[in-house]
Amino acid sequence: MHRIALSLVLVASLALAGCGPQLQALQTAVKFGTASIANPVTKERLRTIEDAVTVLFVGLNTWRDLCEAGAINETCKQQIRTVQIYTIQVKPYLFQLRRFVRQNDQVNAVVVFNQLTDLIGTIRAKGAEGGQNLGGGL
Amino acid sequence: MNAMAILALIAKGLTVADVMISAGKSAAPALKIVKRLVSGGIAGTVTDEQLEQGEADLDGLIDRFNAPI
Repeated sequence: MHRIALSLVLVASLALAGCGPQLQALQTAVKFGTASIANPVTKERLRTIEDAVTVLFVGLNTWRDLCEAGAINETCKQQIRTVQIYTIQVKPYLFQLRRFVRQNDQVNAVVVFNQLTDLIGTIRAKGAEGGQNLGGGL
Repeated sequence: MNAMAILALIAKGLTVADVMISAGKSAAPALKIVKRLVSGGIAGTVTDEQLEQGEADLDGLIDRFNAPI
């Protein structure tokens, strides 16, 4: 219980401090935890990560819309292209994770879940480099 | 699901809604997410059908952002 409370305090502290990209990746790791055979990827956990990815892409699309409307800095298109290098990888991972969870193939589900969690952290960090808060404090 | 967890989910959804409204967007998609988060959290279990409902929307969001800019 103390460990959970400590994690919550850590996440809140990082969010309040307006932390940098590297800390956003840490927040992601704290939020999702690490999957393992002892801590499997259930359908509930799959939905949790899908909800987080939904929130992430709502933010990314809002950023893109503002950029295309010329409402933000001129370098935004290049920043978005940089982030797309990572976002393009999300869908294949997500498709694999859905299949493994539904088949209850935990060995592969755990591997893909952890890779996807890392990727979400990287995308949030790259967004932060472009000045966008993509839900790192969520 | 306990009250604190539900409040955390609502806070998450409201944060998204705030970002979208600030950007001049409709808050409807964010509120849809909040509703799904909270109703799913209260139900406790997730079926394949419930997963599929949100997955189509998510796939569309991903494709939209990944289109060349």
